[in-house]
This record gives sequence, C-alpha cells and structure tokens, in this order.
Amino acid sequence: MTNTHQLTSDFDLARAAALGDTAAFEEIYQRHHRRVYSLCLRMTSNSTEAEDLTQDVFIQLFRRIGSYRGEAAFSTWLHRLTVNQVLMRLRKKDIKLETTTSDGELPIDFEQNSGSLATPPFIDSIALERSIKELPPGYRTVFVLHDVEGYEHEEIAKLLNITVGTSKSQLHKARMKLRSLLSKKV
Amino acid sequence: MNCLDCQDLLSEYIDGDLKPNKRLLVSDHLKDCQECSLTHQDLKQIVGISQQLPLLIPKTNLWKNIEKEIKELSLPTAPKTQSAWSRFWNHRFQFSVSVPQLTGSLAGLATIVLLASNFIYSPQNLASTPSQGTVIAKPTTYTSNTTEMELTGKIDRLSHTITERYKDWDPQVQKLYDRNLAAIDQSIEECSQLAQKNPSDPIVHELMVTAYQEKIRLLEQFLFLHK
Repeated sequence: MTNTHQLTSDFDLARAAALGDTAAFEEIYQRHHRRVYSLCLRMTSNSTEAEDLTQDVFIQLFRRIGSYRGEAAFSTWLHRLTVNQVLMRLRKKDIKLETTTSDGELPIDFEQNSGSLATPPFIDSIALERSIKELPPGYRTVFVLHDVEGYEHEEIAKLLNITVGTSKSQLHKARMKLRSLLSKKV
Repeated sequence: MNCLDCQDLLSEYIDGDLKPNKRLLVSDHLKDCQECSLTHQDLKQIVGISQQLPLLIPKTNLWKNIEKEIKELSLPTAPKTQSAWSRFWNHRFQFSVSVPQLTGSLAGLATIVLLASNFIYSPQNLASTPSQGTVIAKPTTYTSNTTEMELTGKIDRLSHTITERYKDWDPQVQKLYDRNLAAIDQSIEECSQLAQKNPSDPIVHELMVTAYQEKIRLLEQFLFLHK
C-alpha cells in the first residue's frame, strides 16, 4: 500500500473507499482494526471467533461505507457497526444475556467476602483480561460495553433490549465477580 | 446502612449514579467499615484499569483475507452461497461487459454519483422540495425515530414513479434494475421473517430499517440516473 492516505481524514478515506479506492480502505483498516478486534475479543472471549468477526465487520463496512455521511465520528459509526455485528453473532449462537431483574439473585459461585485486592497483590491489565474472559456472557457484554468501551447504561439497555436497572445490576455483579476471580488469582 | 446494602450500591457510588442522600449514607458507612472500604477500593481499581486496557492485535494478518473478499465483491459474478446482502451488493451495477469496460463504466458512474451528490447536497437543493413527477434526488438520511411505515411509504411513492418510467428505460438497465431489486427484496423478506420471530429485537428492527434504506437508495439512484 502506498502512504498517500496516511494524513487523510477518516471521512475523506471513507469517501474514497466508497468510490472503490482499496488503498483508502486498507488505511481505514490499519487505523481501526485493533480497536475492532479488541472489542470482538473481549465480548466473545475467543480469539478465532474475534478474528472471524473482525473480518466480517470490515466486509460489512466495505459494503456500507457509501452510506457514511459524516454525521457521527467515523470511529463511533464503526464502533456501533462492530457492536451490532457481535450482538448478532451472540444471538445466532443463542447466547442468553442474564435476564435477572435489577434486584435479582447473585450467581451461586459469587463470593461476597473474597479477599481484598487493594492490599499489596495488585491487579494488572493482563490479569483483568483473563478474568473478563471468565465472566458469564451477559455480565461480560455489559461490563465490556460500560467499563471498557464507555457506553452509558441507557445505550446498553437499548442495544441489549434490557432495562437500565438490569444493565446497572449486571454491571455491578460483573465487577464483583471480577473481584472474586482476581482475588483467587493473586 | 448495613454492609450488604452498602456493597449493593458500590458500583453506582463509584459511577456517581446515586442520589445525594444515598451517596452520603454509603460514604458514612465506608468511613466506618474496613471491609466495605476495601471492596470499594478493589472495584475502583477494576474500573480504573478497565478504562485503560491496551488495544489487542490479531494473531493473523486479517487484511489479506478481507482484501480478497472485497475484491470478490467487486467482481461481476457472485458465489451462490452468499447472503442476500452479498447478493445485493454484488449485483449492483453489473453489466455483461469485459472488465476494462466495467471499470470504465464504474468510474463513469462514480463520477456521475459524485457530481450528483455535490448537486444534491448543495444548500439550495436541500431547501427545495421536488414537485410531483420530478426526479426525487434529496439525500436520504434517517434518524433512529424514523419508522418503518414512513420508509415503506416512501418506497411506494418511488416505486410508483419508477413504474411509470420503466418502459422507457434501456432493456439492459431494466435487467439491471430487476436483478438489484430482486436481491434487495429478498433481504427485506429475510429481515421480515427475522422480525416475525423476534418482534422486540432492536437489532432486527435496525436491519429492517437498513434494508428499507438500501431499497430507497436503489430506487433513487435509478430514478436519478435513468430519468
């Protein structure tokens, strides 16, 4: 690929790609594939599936890039496309999101009084990544969207077709579960 | 406030989602309870690290596969196993011509579309309303509130105009239009079946809206390019 597109904005790249400029599309890929892949991997916990999904996202992007009008930031638009693609895959696999109400019961293996992490054995990003993989799919989805990707509960509720209360509840349970998992690791 | 109540509220406390009175109760409890205070510190640490997780890199070079796929998408013949979306995109603007001719046609088409979009998106044109029977060339942008009923209404109006003009089109254009329309209608049918199975699924609804939008774009493009 030539470097002619390196200083071009995402919007201009998208317009060029929509007109068939493969080099422009490759530049879009180079800029955004890590974020897309990270989101796919964290939501699926499976590197092969995450790679497969990343490919699907960029192929979908290629098909739809002509409809990008620059109303939202390109990265936001692509991010939304990615989230939808991952959620569609999870639905196809019939992975149920936990549907407890906002005051539903905690899972059986939940440890209310696990050891603290705040004292010397500190957690790091690698340990956290490993623990995220061990979360039940529903908790993981809400946790990744909220804490890692910065989505608001209202947006998550809309995306997952759950209430804001359930989103908050699942996030809290996910964090507590992570604390429990991390305390076992340290 | 007891420890159980306090721990239940810790995430909302960290996220600043609690009302002032509850926030104060949690805050007071944390001052007096070491266990809850440690849980609070742990959760804060988890939230803090989550926000700074590094980007991950795929193990394999995905671009090669993607490049291969998108090149196939640009070719005139599509594999039979592709989805309705693929069929639609693959069938778009296909002519029975050689690759150089096709490339030339696509470049010409791209230029026309680009020029047309510049024309369409100019403020004067955005402000004007097309009169009945004229080419409908307003940009199609929809908010999340746009209902499927509005979209199908627009599709009906565009289809009606196209029906009036169809007989005057070149047979090759008619063939191209029919093929594209069949592909997009199949996508709509598939979405419709999904929607019947999952009526409250917002993703399915979004796919349906996208399919309608694609149909509108198709109709508008044919109306605009073949008036």
